[in-house]
Amino acid sequence: MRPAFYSPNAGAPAPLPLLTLEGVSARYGQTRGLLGRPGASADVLRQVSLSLHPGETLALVGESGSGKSTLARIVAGLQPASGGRICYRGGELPADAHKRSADLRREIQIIFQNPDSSLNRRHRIGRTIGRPLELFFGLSAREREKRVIDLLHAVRLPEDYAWRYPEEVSGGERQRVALARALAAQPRLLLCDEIVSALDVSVQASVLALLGTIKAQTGLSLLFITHDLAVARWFADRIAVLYRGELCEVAPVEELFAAPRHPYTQALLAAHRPSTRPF
Amino acid sequence: MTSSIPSRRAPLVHVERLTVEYRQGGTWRPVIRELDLTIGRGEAVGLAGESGCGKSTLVSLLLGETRPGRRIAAGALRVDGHDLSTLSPAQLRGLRGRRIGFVPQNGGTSLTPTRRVATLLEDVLRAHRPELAAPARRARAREQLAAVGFPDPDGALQRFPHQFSGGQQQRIALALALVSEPELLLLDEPTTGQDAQIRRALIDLLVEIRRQSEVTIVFVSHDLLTLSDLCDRIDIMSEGRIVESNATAAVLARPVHPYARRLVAAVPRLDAPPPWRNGAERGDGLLPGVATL
Amino acid sequence: MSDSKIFAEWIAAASVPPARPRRSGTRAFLARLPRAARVAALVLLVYALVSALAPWLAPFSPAEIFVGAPFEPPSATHFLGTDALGRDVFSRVLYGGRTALLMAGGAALLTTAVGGALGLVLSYCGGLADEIGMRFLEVLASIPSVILALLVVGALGPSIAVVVVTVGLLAVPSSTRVVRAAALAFVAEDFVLAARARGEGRLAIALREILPNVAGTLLVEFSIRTGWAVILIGALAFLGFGAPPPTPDWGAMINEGRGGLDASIWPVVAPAAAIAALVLTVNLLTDGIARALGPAR
Repeated sequence: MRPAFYSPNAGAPAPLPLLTLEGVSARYGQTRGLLGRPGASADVLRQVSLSLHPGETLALVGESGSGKSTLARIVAGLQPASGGRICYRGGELPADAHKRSADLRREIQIIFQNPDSSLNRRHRIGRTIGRPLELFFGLSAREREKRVIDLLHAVRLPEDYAWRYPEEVSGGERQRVALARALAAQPRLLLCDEIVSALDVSVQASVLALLGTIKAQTGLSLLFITHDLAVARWFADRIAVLYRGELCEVAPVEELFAAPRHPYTQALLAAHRPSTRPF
Repeated sequence: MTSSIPSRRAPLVHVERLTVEYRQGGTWRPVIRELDLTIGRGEAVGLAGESGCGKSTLVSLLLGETRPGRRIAAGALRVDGHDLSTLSPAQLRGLRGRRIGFVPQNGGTSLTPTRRVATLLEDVLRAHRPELAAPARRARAREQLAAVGFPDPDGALQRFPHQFSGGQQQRIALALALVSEPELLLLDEPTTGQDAQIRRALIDLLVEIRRQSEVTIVFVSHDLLTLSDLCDRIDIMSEGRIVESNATAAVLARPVHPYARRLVAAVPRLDAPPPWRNGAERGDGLLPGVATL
Repeated sequence: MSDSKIFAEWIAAASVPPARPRRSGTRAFLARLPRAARVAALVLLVYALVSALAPWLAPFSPAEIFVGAPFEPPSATHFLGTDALGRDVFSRVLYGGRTALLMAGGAALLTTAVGGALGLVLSYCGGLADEIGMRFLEVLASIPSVILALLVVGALGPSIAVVVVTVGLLAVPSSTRVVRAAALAFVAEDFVLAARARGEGRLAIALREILPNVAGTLLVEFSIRTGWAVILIGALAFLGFGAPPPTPDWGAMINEGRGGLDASIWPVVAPAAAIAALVLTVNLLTDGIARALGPAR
């Protein structure tokens, strides 16, 4: 069922990690004041080491302020790390997206939490989805139009949506447009930063269901960031728990839920379980 | 906490065939359609539904708010037997804050940043409990702050809202709603956007408050799991109607209405696999577009 | 219900278009324009038409002297009477509209173009360039504009081009600040991050991603600057630093008519009313545009 262009782990018996983070740290508040005095700074990430294998979904779980979005932005090349190394397919990944090759930028795609902010309100949806096609594949306007329609179908949206503006469609549909834009680049690694937490529950489910289907059909690797352990359990092969910038625990899903080792993981799990009556 | 409960256990909230419309362009569009809702004293009812289903409108009406461009086209809302639409603004003010407490979605931003917690709480008491003298007001404020889980209420009273974390601000907002000892507590999505642990702490606190008082709770949320921990009953709203109303366990285990079934199935649960996995793994041709890319 | 059926239902439910699709686009914008602004737009159109058709509408040449006796009162021949040199006031007011609209419009266009470009660049560059640029513009903005304009026009000699460029550049600091502030609100948004992640260049991001979002701000800014330029150009002309004679100019007309006020008020009142009505019209339109664009833009 897998489309031909997606063969990220063909013929690799023991696949090497697709993405490796070695001791990645990040600080906030490195901005200079007017007179060059350093602003207040705080550690956002401390010595985070992780690996993600081809075709794998790794969920990054933590409360707000735990540094999980920062991690996604560092991998996407949108924010510099203050220390550590990131390797992608065996090579070191340049920190700044502009210093990466076009192929690297194409293969690593990021989807943001809030589609209201991640889609340009002044661009029609077709233009938004078509831009990566133009940039990475140099498609002509006619080829783009055809591909945009395919992509809209892929995210279960009617093709006339290409002519609409983001504010003319619902929130869940907007997030699916953002997904279509990411898929347009034919990525290998998709960074999903809380992509359903701004959506209503049933809309959330429809977006997750769609992403699950796409993942199953394409073998995409996912770094799936969420604060909801249940969503992480639905989606992930492994779960990494982040607490105040430090990685507490990384474990396969069933292991983590059966025997959480870190006290914070245990507390998080307890907060997700119903207290008074079984669900 | 003491509250004056009449001997007859009449429903505290009684909404009857309520239709509410908003003006849009030149026409009136219904957002609430022939809605019936009865809430007994001491009950905790969860009102679930998604954006635009009319639940926030219902909360605003229960608070006796009127807005330009909105009208009650039919039906009535009664709180403790009073038809809210017949009350004067002064009577409504007596009801709001005194007998109906309200916790908005963003507890933190609902607190005036330039006033100390003590002032915030005492202002409510000055307005709604004029019989209390200054020392009694302070004592009542302190007592309420302790009741919402501040281990050092005297210290907390002297601080400003921004000196507290998001979860603590939420609890201060709850204390503000409860300090005048209302009979009805309305909570509008107080846990939306909060971390699991903060959400859990708030729910545990509300469960404790229920145990110690007779307060009636209406908790509005789109999160069924949160509601399930607190509420006796869950009402599910869709397109301005209540489409399902049953005991919490029954709604969650055997939802009847198609919309309710969809909503219940959509809730991420730790104890169940995602319901779509079968379909997705079969690769049943749901995404022809991707394959032809 | 089977799982796949539930799945299909989710998809179907999530595909329902929103109940109130808010139309964006020119037509929706026009529909949101308040009535006062629509009237203002109409009045402005009349101003433009009258100015454009002045050669056909004006009964006399605006520059020709002694087409009537000096200080004639309004009559069927001279609708607004004549001035000290016996020129037809009505014809001069009509032609004066051309000068006013073209000069003010040109100056405002210059302001908006330069201020818009600078604002976009500064907002996106940030850092030291932004700091230096803004401080420099603030210094410029702190000099009273009429005095600065008088100095420059006085030094270079009054001509239409000098006045337009001077008035146009004078407002650049404040336009830059407005556009920069509007653009900054978008620089932090995720669609700009998404563009950076794609590897788009700075220019592409400024032009493709941010510019369309500040287009409304630019329109409002252009409108505000037009009204402002009408006043400043009129003031300069009044002080003798406007378009050189015999170009008919409202500000200059007021100055010339000042001496003969006891003989006839029309050579002063007519151009003054024309300026006042134009500024009011432009301001009403500006206000309406800003409202129709909404608080977000």
